[in-house]
Amino acid sequence: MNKLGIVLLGMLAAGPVAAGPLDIFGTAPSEARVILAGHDADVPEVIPRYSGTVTAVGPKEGERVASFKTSITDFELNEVKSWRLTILSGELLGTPFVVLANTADEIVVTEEGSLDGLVPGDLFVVEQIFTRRIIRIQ
Amino acid sequence: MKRAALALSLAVLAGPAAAQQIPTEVVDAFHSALTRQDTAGALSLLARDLIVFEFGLVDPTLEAYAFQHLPLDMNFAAATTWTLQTRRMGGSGDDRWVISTYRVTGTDVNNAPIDSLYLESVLLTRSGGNFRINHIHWSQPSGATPTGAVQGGAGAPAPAPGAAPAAPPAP
Repeated sequence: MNKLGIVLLGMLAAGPVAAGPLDIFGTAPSEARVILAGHDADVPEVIPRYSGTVTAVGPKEGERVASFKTSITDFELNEVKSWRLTILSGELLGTPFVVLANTADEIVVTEEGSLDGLVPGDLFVVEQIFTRRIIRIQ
Repeated sequence: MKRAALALSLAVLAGPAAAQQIPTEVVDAFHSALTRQDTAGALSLLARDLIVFEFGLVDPTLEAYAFQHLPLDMNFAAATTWTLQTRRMGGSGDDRWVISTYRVTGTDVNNAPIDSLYLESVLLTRSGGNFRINHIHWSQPSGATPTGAVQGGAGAPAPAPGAAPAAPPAP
């Protein structure tokens, strides 16, 4: 998958819902089918964001998992370094991390967090929001 | 001298929002998280069984909403001001509802003014001592752009000419 970044893959118009009963409970999120709701297209993007899917996790480094492969395969080297990563599904849903580094298709998080529990198929978003880190040297 | 490193992550990573005991506070905290671009904070206020109805579209799961429309809602929240016009709440025990109407103003991508009435129904369930949102329904009344003074406080928003009164939808 390419960068989503609110570029909205497959920008399908919000057409009429198919006739028949609505299947509102069984549909999994589809990266290729983000449909704009009401006001969505009306405002500019506030911050750069890329959304994607985890395709592989690890390897484990000691007691922690620090990296994963993504469905996004065209990141610039360290393009999202220091950005905020938030997991959007699975065991780590809602857990924020800070990106330590990235390659074209891999993201590494800082030592403050472990991605233990992340599995292929989990969803994530990286956002250009920086976290202040204070290093106190004594 | 021995060196020790202390790393602190501050501010932006607000983490899960503080425990919210009053359903209206949860709703307001959710809007606040959207405005702050606080993805984790917003997610912390949503239940795992969340379903969102947004202008006729359905996000059937929390994951679907988080992936598809939460970022867009954060963009919209940052570009607009939501002024609470009316609010009712009800329910009992662990199941509550909050119905609100807002006047939403701002500027769109073309610098054109946004000035609309929004209807919002939120269902909340208390689990583990905290209320979390398990359903949101956003919509607009037809002719939702107000043209005159809007009654403040507990007053009803002024319907646009020819539009149905902006009565909150049933929970």
